[in-house]
Amino acid sequence: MIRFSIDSSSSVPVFQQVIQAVKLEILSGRLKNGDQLPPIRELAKILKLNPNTVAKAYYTLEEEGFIESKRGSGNWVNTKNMKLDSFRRGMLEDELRLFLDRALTLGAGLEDIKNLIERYAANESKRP
Amino acid sequence: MNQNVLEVRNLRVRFGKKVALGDIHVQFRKGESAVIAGSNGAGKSTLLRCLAGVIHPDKGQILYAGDVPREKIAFISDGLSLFENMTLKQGLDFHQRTFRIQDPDESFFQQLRFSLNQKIKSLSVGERTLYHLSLLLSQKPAVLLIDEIIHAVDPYLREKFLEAVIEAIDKYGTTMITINHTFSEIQNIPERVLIMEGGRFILDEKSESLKAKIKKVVTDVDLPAEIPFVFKKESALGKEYFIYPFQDDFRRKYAYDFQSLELGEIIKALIGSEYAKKRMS
Amino acid sequence: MLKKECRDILIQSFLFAVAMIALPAVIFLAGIIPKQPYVAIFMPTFQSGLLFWALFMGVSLFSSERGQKGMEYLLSLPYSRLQLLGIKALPRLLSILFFYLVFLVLFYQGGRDFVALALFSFSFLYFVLFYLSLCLSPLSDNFLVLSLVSLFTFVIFNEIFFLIAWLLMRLAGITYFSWSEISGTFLSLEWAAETWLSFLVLIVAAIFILLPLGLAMLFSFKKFDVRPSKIYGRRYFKFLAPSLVLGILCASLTVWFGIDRGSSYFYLTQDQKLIESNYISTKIYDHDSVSKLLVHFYPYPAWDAPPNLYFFYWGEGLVRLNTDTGATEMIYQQPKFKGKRYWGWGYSGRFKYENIISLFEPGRAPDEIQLVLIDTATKNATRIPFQHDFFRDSGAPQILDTVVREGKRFWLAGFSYSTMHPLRLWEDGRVENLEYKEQLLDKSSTDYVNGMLILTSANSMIFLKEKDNAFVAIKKISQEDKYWRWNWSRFPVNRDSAEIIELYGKRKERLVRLNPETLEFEDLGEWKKFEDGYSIGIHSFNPNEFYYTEEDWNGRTIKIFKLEGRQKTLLKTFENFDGQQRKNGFQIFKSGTVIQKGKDVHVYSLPDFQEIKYKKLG
Repeated sequence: MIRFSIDSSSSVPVFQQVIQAVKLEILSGRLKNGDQLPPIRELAKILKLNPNTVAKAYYTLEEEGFIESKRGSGNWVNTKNMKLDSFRRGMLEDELRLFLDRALTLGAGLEDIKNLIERYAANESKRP
Repeated sequence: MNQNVLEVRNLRVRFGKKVALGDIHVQFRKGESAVIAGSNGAGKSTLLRCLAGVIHPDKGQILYAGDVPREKIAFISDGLSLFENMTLKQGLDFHQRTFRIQDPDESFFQQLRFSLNQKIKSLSVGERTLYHLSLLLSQKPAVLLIDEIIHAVDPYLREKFLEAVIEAIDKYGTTMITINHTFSEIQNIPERVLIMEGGRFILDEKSESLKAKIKKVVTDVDLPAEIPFVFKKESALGKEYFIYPFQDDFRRKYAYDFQSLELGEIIKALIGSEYAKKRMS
Repeated sequence: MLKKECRDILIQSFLFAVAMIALPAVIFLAGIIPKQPYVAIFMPTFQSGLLFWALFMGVSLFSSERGQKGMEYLLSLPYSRLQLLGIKALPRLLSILFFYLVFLVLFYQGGRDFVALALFSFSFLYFVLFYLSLCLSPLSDNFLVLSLVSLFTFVIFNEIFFLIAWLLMRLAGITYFSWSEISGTFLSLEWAAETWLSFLVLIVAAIFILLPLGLAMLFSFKKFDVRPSKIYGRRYFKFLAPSLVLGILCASLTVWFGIDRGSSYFYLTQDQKLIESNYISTKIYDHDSVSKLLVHFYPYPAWDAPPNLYFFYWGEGLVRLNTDTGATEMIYQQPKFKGKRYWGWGYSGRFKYENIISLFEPGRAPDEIQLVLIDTATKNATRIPFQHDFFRDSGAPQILDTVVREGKRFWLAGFSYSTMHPLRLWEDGRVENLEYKEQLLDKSSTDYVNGMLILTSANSMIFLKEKDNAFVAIKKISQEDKYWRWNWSRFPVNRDSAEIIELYGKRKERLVRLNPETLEFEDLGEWKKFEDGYSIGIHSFNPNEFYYTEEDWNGRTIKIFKLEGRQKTLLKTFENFDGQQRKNGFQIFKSGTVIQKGKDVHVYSLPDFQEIKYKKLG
């Protein structure tokens, strides 16, 4: 099931947030190929969104090849055509860009950030 | 291409000497959800009443699309006006007969579990609001006009109502025009924001583009003159500037933390700026 | 929505009906008004209740929505404003009509004797109140205010209506109606319709004044909304003002053209002057000239003594008109008696002898009358009071004759349509009852001719002659024809002429002569045409000069005969006279005949029937 909440004050448009949430679910494996997505109406109701917003998100997801909409039966995850890895990298890059923007506003320099990442990665690999 | 479901031309309404609406021009597309905000006395309720046919404008026209008969226009205002001597059942039957609803959608009404034999006037304000809303939803409306009523309803039922509205928008392609002050849950429903002041529209934008155009900056110092702001608030936390119109390259040029805002805060700031203008003039 | 309204009105009407039945029942059963049958309490209660109902139905047009805070909801319903108005007004109108019909049925089934208001006045008030209160109902949210305003508007409308009528009548020259006689309330309408304006003109004029209120309402109601009533009111009056002015103008024009000026009445004087009289003026036509007097005479003079005519001037007194000079002079001014007109102005009292014209006026008590003797030469009026029980019951008598006996004058007086005996009224005030033994079963008419009293009732005719100071029957005829008449004349019996010898009349649809010696009826032929009061029948202007006019059954031909003894001689036939037409008239006077065919008037002299031409006539 999709678990996420919409951040109304985010600079990311709401429909984008929906798209990203779905993509996250797919990438993480929580949504598998062939799973059915919630109907537009239901998702809109749960998230208190305008159904047009959800519809727009689903439409975009279909354009980008993540889901397939079948007339009359709803929207289904379709990962067959996806290159998950390259997509994952794409998402990572987006996240990175966001992170960097924020980090830079804190006043950090690129060198400091790089060092921080390396230190963090080293600590993570030490974990059991 | 979405057709206009409703077009307003040259609308003018006066209450005696006072001009409540002065030369309003606006269109709404089918299935669109819009929120009208503004300071008290800006003319929002008057406009909505005109759209509902309750007030006849002194000048101008309100044109609904050809496939929208009056029976498909649903209206509720804070007066919660109904024939309150009727029982709930009588009121429901009357509403359905008068609005010629072929097979009414009573799903929301049934959720409310009212006892049908009591009189409408015996309901509390919240119950009456929901009852009235259920009448409107049973109309399967093409246009839903809601004026500032939701605050009297408890949060649980408020959510239930919201879900019913969302369903209607999806099922019937309802165009919803609502006047709202309290934002929270409803924030993500409207795709379009209109702000009224002194009987005129001072803003008419898509929600998403408005959110992109207004950012907040909190700082101790004055903002440089090149950064336009629409409103300024001073408090113990420092100076809050509401930047409008925001441009993406501001982030590159300036070191400020431009915060995104939710719709409610944006509207608050815009209304605040109107008050500030009034104080200065 | 219509069903809901109908249901609501039905319930209200039912409650009203129950109240209308119950309230008088309570009064009746409690014996509050004793000795009255239920219907006598019910009818006036119902009538006044209906007036309240009419007001209520109009004023309560939106009271249900206003009371239930449902106004905004009402206006949001998918009906146009005019549809809403129709939905609201229709059931109320039906209720009004229903109760009106119920009232009519009860009225004609015996209720008419117990109502306080006459039918026309009530109907007018009923519907106009409903209409007015309906038109005014969107103006206020306050029920009481609306009711008061509606009533007030009705009064104003009434006053405007009569102001117009009075002003125009004055302009048209009709000055003899006083303001107090015309103005006031709708109660004057029936009176008005009888005297100077036809019902049609009244109704049309009323509609012109009332219509603007409804039209302004229809016009303004299209913009009716939840804004305060003041705003609607302003718009309403903006429409009302000009249309009301227009309406008043149209009403004025209607009344102006509707005032009955057209009907003229003619009188031909003994010296062949033609008098034309209508509500506005009196014209005197001489051969070459005409003079117009702005006075109104009811054109049947009390005395025709050329060049003077003596008229009773309605409500004022006896007037002498000099037909040569056109001068009028008030010979006798009638005193006002508690604001009422005297019954003595009726025909029965009048009598002329020598230079005296007499009439009766009320006395100081119900059983007293006063004989007024007006000397036309000196203009003095002498009054002699007479007291008798007969006057209390039967009013003033007819004067049949006046004689001086042993130096004292008396007037012989008889009662028409009464079983009272004739009286001698002596100049010293004494009343002598001339009883006769014959019993009359019926009220009879009294004629006095040839020293003989002729009493005619429905079933008998008695001839009485004076003998030893009493009247004794010399002949008695039983008869079934109560339409015996002789010597038609609208002019009062007078003593200008000497004894009349002949008697002609109508009996059982035959022209008959009453033989003066034998008192037997002699048949002279078929009586053609029914009586129409003054033109057809027997006329006599000089002693023993009798004319008989006959109209054929189709009213197309008039024939004038001379009657002498048993002989009937045709003098003249007038062709193509359509007597059925109201505008046509035929009159016969001593000096000639006047024939009216619509606006066309011709005068022929008697007895030679030469046409008399008046230059200015026509």
